[in-house]
Amino acid sequence: MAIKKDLVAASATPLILSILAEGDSYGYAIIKRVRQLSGGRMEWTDGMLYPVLHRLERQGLIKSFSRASEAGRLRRYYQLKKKGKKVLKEQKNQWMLTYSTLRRLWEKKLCLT
Amino acid sequence: MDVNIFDFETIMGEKTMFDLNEQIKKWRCALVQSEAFDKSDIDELESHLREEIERLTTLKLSGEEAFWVAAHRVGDTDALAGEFAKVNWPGMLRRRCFWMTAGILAYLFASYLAGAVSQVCLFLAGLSGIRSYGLGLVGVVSNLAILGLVIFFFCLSYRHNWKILRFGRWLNNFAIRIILVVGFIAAVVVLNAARIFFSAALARTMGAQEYGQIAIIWAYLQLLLPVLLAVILMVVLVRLRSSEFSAIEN
Repeated sequence: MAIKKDLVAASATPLILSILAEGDSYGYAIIKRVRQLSGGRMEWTDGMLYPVLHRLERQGLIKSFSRASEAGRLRRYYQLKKKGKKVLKEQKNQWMLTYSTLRRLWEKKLCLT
Repeated sequence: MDVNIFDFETIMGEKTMFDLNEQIKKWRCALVQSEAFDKSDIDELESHLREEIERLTTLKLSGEEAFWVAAHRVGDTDALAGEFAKVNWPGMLRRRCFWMTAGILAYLFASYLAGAVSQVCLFLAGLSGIRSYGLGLVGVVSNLAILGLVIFFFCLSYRHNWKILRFGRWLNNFAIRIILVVGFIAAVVVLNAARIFFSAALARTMGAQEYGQIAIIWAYLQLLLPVLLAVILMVVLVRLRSSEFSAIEN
């Protein structure tokens, strides 16, 4: 089961913010984490992550800085900002509400049958 | 050791040996073609690509296989450009304004240069005794010659992929920007001063009435200039456009 494109797009912001809430990270590691969390079923076109990151940076939710990896490669790291934490909290509530609404509907159906 | 020199696969293998860095360079070039990406965007994507290639080669994929899988995962260039353009549009707009302004400045400079040079030619022709229609013709021909030279230079630099005109990155330096602005103002002042000086000098070599006649003839002949210039520029535009389309088709 693959998740539809529009749902992937809608969940990108809360996913990225939540992963960055665990600690600073860079693009490749964020993709790896999403793949690992979803068991590989949430497939992103890797490159599409970066425009989203840059938009979040422009909106002031995250900030970026360069740091060299152990292998000496320069990476662009992203860090959650205060405003990002606030937006994440709001998004979390919205997703929880969506989830609980759907669950109530689906559980009622299960009881009826 | 028995080596068969006619072993086809060995020969082909040598010839088509996969050069990862070369391939990544080509991949980068495809991104550079689009104005949607900044250099830092491309660096970030390349770093991602290399990391994925490294991971895939540890899974026993060959360098070539790893490259193609990683490039596919990073995504199709056009689709990526579309997404990056949504974020980078202020920069794209700025770059377009930059080139439009550069074009207008280049045109102004070319027309001032042509004006000054043709005035010098008029003065010299006047000294050598050419009068009336002949003098007007000298003015127009020299004017057109300079504009033609500028357009020729433009086409030449286009054919060489703008290697001659790669001055965009210099403009990041504040001192160079100041020098360019001051240089442009100085050139405009010098060229216009020369034009005025030589037209006054020419007027002094003959009577006011004669000079007035020549001025009228030149004014009529100058009707040619905007028409010719418009035709030349339209040809240049059409050629640029068609080569752009063929680049897309390829």
